[in-house]
Amino acid sequence: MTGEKGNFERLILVRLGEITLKGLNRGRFVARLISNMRWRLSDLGEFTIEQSHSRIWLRGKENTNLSDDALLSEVIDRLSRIFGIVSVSPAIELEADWEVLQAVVSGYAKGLLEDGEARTFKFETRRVNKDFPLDSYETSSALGALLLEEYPHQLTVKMLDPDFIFFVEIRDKIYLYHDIKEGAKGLPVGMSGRGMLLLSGGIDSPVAGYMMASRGMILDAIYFHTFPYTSPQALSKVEELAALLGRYAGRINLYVVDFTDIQLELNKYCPEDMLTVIMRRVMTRIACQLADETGAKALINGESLGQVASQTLEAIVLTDAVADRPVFRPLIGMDKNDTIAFARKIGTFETSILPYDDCCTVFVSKHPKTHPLPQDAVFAEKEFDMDAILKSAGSKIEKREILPKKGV
Amino acid sequence: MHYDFDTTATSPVLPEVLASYARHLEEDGNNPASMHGGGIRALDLLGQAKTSIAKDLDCAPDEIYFTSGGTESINHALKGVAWGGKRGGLFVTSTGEHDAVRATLSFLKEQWDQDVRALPLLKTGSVDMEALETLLSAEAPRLLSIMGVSNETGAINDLKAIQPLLKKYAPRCLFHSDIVQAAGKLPLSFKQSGLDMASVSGHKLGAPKGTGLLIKKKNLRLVPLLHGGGQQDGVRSGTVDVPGALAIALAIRLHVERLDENLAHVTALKNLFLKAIHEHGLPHECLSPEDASPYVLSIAFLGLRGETLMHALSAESIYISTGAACGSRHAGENHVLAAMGIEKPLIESAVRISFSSARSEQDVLWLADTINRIYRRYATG
Repeated sequence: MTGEKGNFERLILVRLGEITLKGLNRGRFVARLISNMRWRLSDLGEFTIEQSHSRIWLRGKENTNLSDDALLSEVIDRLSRIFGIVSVSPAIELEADWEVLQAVVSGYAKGLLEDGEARTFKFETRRVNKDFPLDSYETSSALGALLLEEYPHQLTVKMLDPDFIFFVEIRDKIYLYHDIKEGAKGLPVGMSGRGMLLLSGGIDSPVAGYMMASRGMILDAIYFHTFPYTSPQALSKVEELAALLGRYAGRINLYVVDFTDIQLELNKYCPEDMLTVIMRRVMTRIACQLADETGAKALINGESLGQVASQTLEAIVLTDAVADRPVFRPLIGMDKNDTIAFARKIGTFETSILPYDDCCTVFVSKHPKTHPLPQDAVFAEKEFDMDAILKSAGSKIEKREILPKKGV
Repeated sequence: MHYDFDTTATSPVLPEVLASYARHLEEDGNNPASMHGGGIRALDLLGQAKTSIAKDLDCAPDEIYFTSGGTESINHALKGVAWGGKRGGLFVTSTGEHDAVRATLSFLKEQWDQDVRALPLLKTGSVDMEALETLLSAEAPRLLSIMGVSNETGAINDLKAIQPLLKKYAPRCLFHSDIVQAAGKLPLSFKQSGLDMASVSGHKLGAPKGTGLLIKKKNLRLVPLLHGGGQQDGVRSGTVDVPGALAIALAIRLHVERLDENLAHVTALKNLFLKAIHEHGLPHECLSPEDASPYVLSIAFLGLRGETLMHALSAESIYISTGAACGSRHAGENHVLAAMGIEKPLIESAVRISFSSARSEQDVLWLADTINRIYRRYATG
């Protein structure tokens, strides 16, 4: 792009966090992150992505113009939800030339100060290119003076917590930016294997999925559909939650199990006070069986210790007893209010509270055993042909590929 | 093809109404307030619509105002009284009203400090008339709003029996009724009901959505809900939808013409259904009283949640509901059934089945057979 003086280009600065601390594996982490970024942006245009030190620079190719505000804001939003990214800034790249820098800074400030409101500001300059005629301190002072002269009534310099900090980095080129949007942090999805998330439609399980994806897990999700006890809307809600979660976790394969016949059999043969625990044991077995096929090496659920009768320590022991792989419960020690706040932050709460029942709310024991013993479970399951149940469940699973929700 | 047993929520536009509506949309697009030939013709058609409705609902043509539907009419009646004259006085309603009345009155209560009281329902779903008399004898309300027929249970309130009470205890009290589920379905005379205002919805009678009536006594002054060009004597501004007015008039005409015939048919369907359910040996409880409007049946199948039955029927293209469509998103809650003193487990099993002239005996037997099949498979006891 051509300004009044000299050329400048819009680009995006992406900062990496934890993965820069990795030793020999660092290259793999960065490569995975870049590949995730490419995939998430693929429908928005063509980009070049370059890595230098602990940062990634992203530019639009010829047909992809980051000066388009709507595009820029969508790209920034998507990047800020990719695990492995600490923060994102829209930036301007210009020639390492003092005259050009002054002209561009003046134009840059104009765009921000159009509303006429009074603001405080400061410059922070980092000069790596020692050929540049002014040092860091001199550059900051001179640019500050320039803006004060242009906006004498609107701007005041403030060192501590000003409204704007203009960052100027002088390298072979100069980079100018002020806006730093916090990223999702964590590790790039794909670096920590694959997990099978038991997704119910409630508040907790999407948060649990988020947390494990933030540690680099690829998510599969399994949902137990109990039509007509649960509605088609309940299934749509789960798909929506997977799509919302996908903004962070990427593509999610959602496996929908037609659970009605199994549920009816449970109702028929299982002692009422053990219904929920046995249902969870059956779901865990089905999830493990499916995980074998998808390559998921762990299960993930949204249980929190003591939250409901099926989440007491004794009940959890009984569910884990039928799992043949680790069951991750990232919310185990979380307070419900904190989980709700988390769900709001990641944008799943409003969907989670839509009033469509899931099978966990339709089939509840009136007086569940809160401290079931292993022999209780064995007794409760003695009427079941578990192999037949698992076999029938396996034939009633439908896979749906859920892509990240757009335009939220 | 689907079987619609949810006509209390809305009903399809009647073929005759659709034909007439389309023709008038095409041919009579002029504004009835215009002074030219087209406007004069539109005004004449509007007059014809009013005359027709006046005859069918037994009111005067100049007591009829065209609105966008029941909700607007109800809002206008209640807010129009509250906002006119001095603040204060008591508004009396019942706990069984439609949300359009409930929400409008709670708005007036919260935002306008309007004193509002709700009369209890009897177990039958009708308003407790003794409680009404006790209240009226103690204090004279400014407005009474009682629905004609419950949209949840079909329970009928005897509006004509209220009139003498008002005369005796509170002659200046205004009387409004939401007659959305009564008009065109049960014999009804605005004049003889002793009403000052009544609200009617077009789409429940086979007219297009967006049509409705507020009927009010001529000398009764209401503060307008909509201000503007002063159409309809300044009561309801906004260009009048002449094809819509003709459509609701024709829909009411068709209903009133066939009222006895429809009533007999629908009563037979309801009885046939209950007989079939009984013969299937399905454990059930009728929540509608025996003398309810046969168009609405609230019934609970014990051991089967209303939601479950509704979804399972829907999968077979049979549409019923678990209650008023406005509130049916909250499973297992129903303020009307709760006000009748019905226990929560029964409310959770309740469904609302609507019978209409468009359904046949075979349809009803198919409905009963399908419910039986679903019940046998999914009831959890």
